[in-house]
Order: sequence, then C-alpha cells, then structure tokens
Amino acid sequence: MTNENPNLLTVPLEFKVACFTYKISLQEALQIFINYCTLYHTLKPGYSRLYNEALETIFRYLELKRPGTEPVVDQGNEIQGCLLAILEEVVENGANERSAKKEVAKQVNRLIKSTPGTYYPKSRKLYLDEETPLELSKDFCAMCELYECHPAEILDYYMSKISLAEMDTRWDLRIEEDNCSMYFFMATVFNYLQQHKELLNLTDEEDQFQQDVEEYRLYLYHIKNLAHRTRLLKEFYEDHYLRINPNELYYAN
Amino acid sequence: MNINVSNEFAQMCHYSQQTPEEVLQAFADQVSYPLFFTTKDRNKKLATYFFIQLVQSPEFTGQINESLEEHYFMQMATAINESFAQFPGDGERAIAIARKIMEQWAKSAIAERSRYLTDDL
Repeated sequence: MTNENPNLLTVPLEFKVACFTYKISLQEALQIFINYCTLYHTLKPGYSRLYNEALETIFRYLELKRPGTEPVVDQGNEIQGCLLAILEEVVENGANERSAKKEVAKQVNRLIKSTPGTYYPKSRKLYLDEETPLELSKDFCAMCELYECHPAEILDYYMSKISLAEMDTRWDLRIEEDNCSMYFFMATVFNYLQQHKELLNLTDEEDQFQQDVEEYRLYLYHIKNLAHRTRLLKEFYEDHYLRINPNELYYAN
Repeated sequence: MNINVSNEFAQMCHYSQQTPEEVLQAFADQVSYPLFFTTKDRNKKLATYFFIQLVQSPEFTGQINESLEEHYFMQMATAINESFAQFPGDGERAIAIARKIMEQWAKSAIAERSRYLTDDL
C-alpha cells in the first residue's frame, strides 16, 4: 500500500483487530514499540527483554529489505564509527545504563545534526489520522538514519507481523514460529493491561466474543493446514471487529 | 467400563433423577464427527466439542496419527459438501456418507498401528 502523505501511517486491519481485542489504542501500542527502540540497546551486549525484541524486529525488516547485508552500515560511515567508539567506552568504563544511554543518544544526535542524512525524518511526528500523532523519539529517528530506512517502513513491518489469528492457530496446531514482533506485542500488551486493570473487566459482549472465538477454534480442529486455518480464524476476528466498528468497513475495502 | 463418579456428578444426577449411566449414554450418543459436521443444531455439537477440546488441549496424552486424521477430515468435508450440494437439506444422507468414511478411518488407524508393531519384529 502506498501512502500519499508520507507522515500518515496505514494500519492493517489485523493490527487494528489485535489492539481492539486487548483494548489498547493503536497509538499506545505503536508508541510503546517506538519507545523500546533505543540506540543504547543496539550496542549493549547481552539480552534485554523487550528491547531486544524491538530491535530484532528492525533487523529482520532490514534483512528482508536488503537480504544478506549486515544491519550495520558501511565502514566509512561516521555515525557507525562513533557508535563503536561509544560502545567501547560503555563496556570498558562499565558506565551505568542511564548515563550510557544519554551519552549514546547525545553523540549520535550531535553527529546527525552536523551531517544531516537522507533518512532522518524531517518531522518528529507520524500520524495515524489527522488527530492522532505518534511521537518519534530522537533515538528512533537516529536509528532510521543509521539503518537507512523511513520510520513508516519499520512500523509497517512491525504491524504486518502482528496476527492474533496466526498466533492462535499456531498454538492449536503446535507449529512454533520465532516471531519476536508478536512476542513483543503480547508482552507489552500484557504489561499494559496490568497497569490498567480496569480493562480486564470484560463487558458481556466481550465475554461472549471470547467464548465464540474459543468455540470457533475448536470447530476449526478438522483443518490441519496452517494457512487455511489462519485465514478462516482471521476472517472470524475481522468480521466481529467490523460488526462493532462498522465505520471501518469503508477503509477495509 | 468402570469409572469413578465424582460427588458433584452424582449429586447432579441425583437431583435430576437420572443415573450416571443414562447421562453418559446420552453424551456418548452424540460424540460424533458425522453428526458434528452435518447438524446445524449447536446443542447437538456440544458433546463433540468436548471431545475436540480434550484432544486439542496441551494436557492430552493420547496419540493421534495426524496424517490419517488430516486425510479423512478432508475426505469427510468434501463428501458432506457434495452430498448437500446434490441433495440440499438431506442431513440423513450426508451423515450416512460421513459414517462410512469414519469406518474407513478406523480401519486405516488399526492397520497403521499394527504396521508399527510388525515393523518392529
């Protein structure tokens, strides 16, 4: 799908369905993802839960876009050189996370300002619609420059990896897949719901739909093909979503 | 068949004046893929839903030959669709055809299992 306005994001129906199901706004869900993409974690050795999954999402997108190339940019790149220097410093001095984060962001942003690149977004805002902005962090913008891609590309890719229907079907068929983006989505949604416990109280309608989904998943038992079964469950989710949000029908078609 | 009847089950049978045997018989009569795939009556699907839920749950310990299952489910779906296309509304015919496929499935499952046994010899 091509956007006429590069600052306006097109949200796939399945991503809307996923956010709707867990009662998190599109804005909130995407903002959380943006906020977890940090320069510091591109350098930090070892595993940091959720930060690594967010980063891995970007790296997988880059791999898809430019197969075979390392996510790291060319040798002569000044920013890359600076990042490596900072990495050494962080590791050697054992700087604490907070100051290291600041230092990394400061250095990179200083560099990017002095040599404006082609990918660093001109506006720090992306829009879901006229009234709903996403705030692109400086880190996120710097990473776009670093990895030579536009913010919307990364978010499009992230959203494209989110599918409740596929997650459920894989679970039912016991076909595992290493989908770091889906993991990230579910884990952050879970955190979000823990912080907004009132959302865990389901209305009768929501409760009924949960039961309907459970029953439909059992009904689909006889279909063993992953793609086929995922498609049917996806339609089930989407039909429900469009029934409750009929104004979305216009956009969906 | 020898099963333990829990207190709750016994109590529920008692107040509805049915024996556990009668209740289980009524249940057993409706655990059926042919019925499940041909009836429109959701209530008549419930016993089979229970069965599917059981075999699909992560705690399920039985063994299912999945390639046979896939094969016969597909055959059954095709046969039922064709039957309804030819004779719309004739549930009896569709169910009879589906039952024949279930019989073939059961035979194949037994053949498969004995093949494993003889292969080990």
